Amino acid sequence: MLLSIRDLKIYYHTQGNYLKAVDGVSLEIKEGEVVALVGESGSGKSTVALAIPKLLPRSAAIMGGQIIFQGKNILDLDNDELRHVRGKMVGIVFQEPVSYLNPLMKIGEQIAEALKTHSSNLMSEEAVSAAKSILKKVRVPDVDRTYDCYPHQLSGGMAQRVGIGIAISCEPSLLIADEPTSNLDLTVQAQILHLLKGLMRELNLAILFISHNLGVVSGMADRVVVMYAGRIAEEAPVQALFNNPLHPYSKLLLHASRVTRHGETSEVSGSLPDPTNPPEGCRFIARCPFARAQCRTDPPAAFPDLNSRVYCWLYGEKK
Amino acid sequence: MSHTAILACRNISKYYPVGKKGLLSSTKKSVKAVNGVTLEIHEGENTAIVGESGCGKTTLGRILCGLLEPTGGFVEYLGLHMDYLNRDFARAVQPIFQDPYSALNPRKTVMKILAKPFKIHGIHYDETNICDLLENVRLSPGKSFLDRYPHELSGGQRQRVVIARALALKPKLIVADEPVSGLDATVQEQILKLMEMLQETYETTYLVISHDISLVESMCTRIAVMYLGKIVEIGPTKSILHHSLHPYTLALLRSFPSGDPKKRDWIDSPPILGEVPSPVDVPSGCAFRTRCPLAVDECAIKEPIMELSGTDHYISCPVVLRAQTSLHMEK
Repeated sequence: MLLSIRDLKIYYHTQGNYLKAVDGVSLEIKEGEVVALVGESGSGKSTVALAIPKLLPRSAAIMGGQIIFQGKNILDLDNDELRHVRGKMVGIVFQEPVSYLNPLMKIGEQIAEALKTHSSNLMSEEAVSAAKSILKKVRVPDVDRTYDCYPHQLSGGMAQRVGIGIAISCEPSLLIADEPTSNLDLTVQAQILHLLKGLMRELNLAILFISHNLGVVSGMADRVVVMYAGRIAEEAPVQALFNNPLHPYSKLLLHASRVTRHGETSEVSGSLPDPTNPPEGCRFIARCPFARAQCRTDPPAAFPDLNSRVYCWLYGEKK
Repeated sequence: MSHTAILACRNISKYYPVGKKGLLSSTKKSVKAVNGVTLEIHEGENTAIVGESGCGKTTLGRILCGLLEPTGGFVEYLGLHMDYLNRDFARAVQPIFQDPYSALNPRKTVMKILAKPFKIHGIHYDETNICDLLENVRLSPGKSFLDRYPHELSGGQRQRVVIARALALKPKLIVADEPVSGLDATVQEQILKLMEMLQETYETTYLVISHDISLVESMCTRIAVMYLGKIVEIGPTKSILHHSLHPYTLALLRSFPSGDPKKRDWIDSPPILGEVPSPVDVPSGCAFRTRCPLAVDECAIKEPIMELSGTDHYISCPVVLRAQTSLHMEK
């Protein structure tokens, strides 16, 4: 197992309150596997992603759980060890490539900088040619010209290619991609996803793919984890989830995303529960058409199926 | 379908000048956001404009609801030539904007926001009118929302207020520019259901501007596909989605996520390479020729015109049309 997260709890401090962003999440990623983390805004999916390289903002506190990456608990590492994890073992691609590239530095130099940070004995000329070969790897046309460009001179698609290039520059074994294509055009989105798939095969890369776009997830993922209000609702292989979603929230999400047309078409109402004071039992209770008395008091247990698990009292009884 | 279109635009263009005049060159460069668009919208016939960013769909939408003055061409409302900033026109064509966060004045209460259209057009109103509007967009009880400020509302509620404001004057046409992008999937579903329902009560027509093909499929009966400031294909929704002919439309449709884990060819072999060229230097002849798999020499010289290719279905690609006719001849 490449990564296993166990019972992770992350709370944010807000005006004397705790905002329970992630509240007992467990998931695993194998080598070379694409796991998609889906959910609406406020579901906690990005918080889980940022916790893996320990890049959470100051207001976040890890209240419990473990993040085991290649046998080590990341939460126990000191800053030097973490620096090794970030970049060298885990690469990250964000949503807005132009905003996290340094606007005052040439594209090529930014890639070379990433390379030098992780191997100090690299000579300058070597770094330049290595950076160029990375630009080639992410299929940037006209490598020499792009090397000397500044971020504002690149289109959104090209900037995201550079972002991916920096993320894979030190050949990590896990890539975290947080909404990597959500600001790109359809035709460019298809190209970027194609690139990610190619790199995966080439580098035996595992990807934690965070998205709210189920269409994109249907094309990329091997396994899908559906999150709702800080907890996992369902985890299943991609085909099982799209053909036969089990959790009422998964059904709702698939229907609302207009990617599949089956299932109940009941009116969708309500919104996420208050994250500072979530309901005691199931978090989805206010919007669930099947809620019963037990759902009010007991948080649902995980009911495993062949390759999946669903957190819903509809699929089993309390032991 | 009535014969006069509610709204029509004839050869509309919008250029934005960029940069400075050179010392030796007297011509200024300009961004050709919209470059000669002719379009008719008929009553009850929801029309969609689809295309990628920078294709000019938002600019066209703004011209159509009288918020921008076109550089060339003109807009007709019920067959009458309309000037930019005409009051009757403004009353009949209302916009719904993409981002409900910036579409509402943060310093005004919902009551003030919704009273504004009545005030501008000098129409008598009272609190019950405003409450009715709110209840119609399913913000009930309407009274409880009157004194709230935009920041006290969720994204979905804000978009409902924007829709209520657009409906206040009972417009004939609503220009909805990406009405649900930026909202969560389940909230999107709620807003789309609401828009569908309101169409019946208010007898209005939508012009939907979007890049989301599944949204357009469920809402519109006609689709216009834009590329670099021009419409390249227009026709009935089914005809465009299932029998599209223009190479750009085909590429766009094939890039759309299938939503089926078994069908991944849209990622495995991306239908089109490269990105949209800059609208400052639009390629000569057919704007799409630089990315087109069917391009021939002629495409660089002659600008294609819209021609009929099927029932009510027009495309601007002579190469495809020729192939089509020769196929018919063989038969």
